[in-house]
Amino acid sequence: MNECQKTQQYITDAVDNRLSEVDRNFFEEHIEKCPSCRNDFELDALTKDFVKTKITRHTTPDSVAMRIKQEIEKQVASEQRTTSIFTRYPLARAAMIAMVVFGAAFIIYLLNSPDLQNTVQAANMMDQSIENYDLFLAGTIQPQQFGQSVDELREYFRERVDFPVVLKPVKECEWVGGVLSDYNGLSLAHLVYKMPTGIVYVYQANWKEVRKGNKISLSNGAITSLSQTGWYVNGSHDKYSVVMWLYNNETVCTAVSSMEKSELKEMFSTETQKY
Amino acid sequence: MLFASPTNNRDTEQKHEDFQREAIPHMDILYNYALRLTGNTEDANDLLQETFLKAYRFWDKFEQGTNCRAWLFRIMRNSYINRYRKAVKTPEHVDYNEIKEFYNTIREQSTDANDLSERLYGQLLDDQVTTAITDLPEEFRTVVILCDIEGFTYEEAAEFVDCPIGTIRSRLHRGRKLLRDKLFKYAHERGYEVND
Repeated sequence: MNECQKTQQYITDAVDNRLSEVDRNFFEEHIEKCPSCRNDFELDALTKDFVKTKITRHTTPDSVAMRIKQEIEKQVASEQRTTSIFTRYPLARAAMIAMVVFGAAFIIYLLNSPDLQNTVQAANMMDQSIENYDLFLAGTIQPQQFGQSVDELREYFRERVDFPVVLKPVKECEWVGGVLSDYNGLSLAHLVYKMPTGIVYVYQANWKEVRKGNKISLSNGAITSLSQTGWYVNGSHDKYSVVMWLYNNETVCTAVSSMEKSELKEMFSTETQKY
Repeated sequence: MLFASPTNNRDTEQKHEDFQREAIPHMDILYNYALRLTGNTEDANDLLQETFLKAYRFWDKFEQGTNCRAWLFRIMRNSYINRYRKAVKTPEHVDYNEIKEFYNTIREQSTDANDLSERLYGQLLDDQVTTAITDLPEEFRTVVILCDIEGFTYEEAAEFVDCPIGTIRSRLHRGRKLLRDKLFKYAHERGYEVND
């Protein structure tokens, strides 16, 4: 590297007074005898000063600052409205209390419990949905977002999973909760409808992934029925009704509830609305 | 299955309070950055609002005790880049020598820096200087704004942009050269207009 190249590398630091004494001595000696490097240095220093003096500093216009604060307060209010459902609905409150009692430790225990990991891995989507339903009822799983209607969950699910989340408005629904989770790298969406008669849980996943069966699987009977008719209602479980359906060949939904199977199917069989 | 813990009203209030205390005070500096990035108040207002709403939404991702201003800057910069990604300008041809030759002649006639500066850049106005800055490619623009307008050290700028100090230095080097060329051209063109 010749002297000019070395000097060029020092110019920026020289303008900002950042050179060590040794480097500064070298730099100053060089620009004494090299007008080209000197001019480059002087031009940069001059430009820096010029820009600094010319630029006017602005304060945020009051109207803009106000609007931002209002928007944030709106968010705060909506978070509080959704969480205050806990105090309005006894079941949600019970779930909240259960959550506080068992706390994070219990969830960590669940996550690390080899039994559960094995059963979950071996289980198919239908078994998982039953298990999750029980966890919801026990309050072990908490919705992350609440709303008075599915519309209020639209924003929460937006672009966070790789399939359209089916957000079906349901009559007489008191509140609805949403959860996103990750299972073996698959993003899943969960909805909980609080009905006067109890909880309806809908588990949603990417249909292509479920068909592949690598991470979440389904019985051949269910896959065939879903592919041919879009529905699968034959699964037999002692405790609950389980109904599965396809949305747009992209999303597979599994609804679990203690209501009658036909009633459950009816609930989701009219025109479905996605986000 | 992994489920996040629930929030409650007290958490929300605390979050709002923290946000008011830590993030809101940086609004003016971000507003100025937004103005220099976008070059107009309308886009700057939108960008500022987007930045603060995002920051509030992702407040739990902010590590308490770290540099909140730098964190907000990164959100703004990313938002800006995402929003205007398609509008990337192709770099124009830059002739560094034009200004250097001119400077070389006027330097002989004057040793006063103010006088030199005026001969070089004439009476360029704030908004013309802003336009010149806005015309710089984003990577150089941000570093010039941070170091030359906001007066941050290279170390601070490196934290803001999330890159090594050497990168800040080389971008600043190039950015200043591009900027002085632009300013000179603006002043030059303006000079012709006045003379005509």
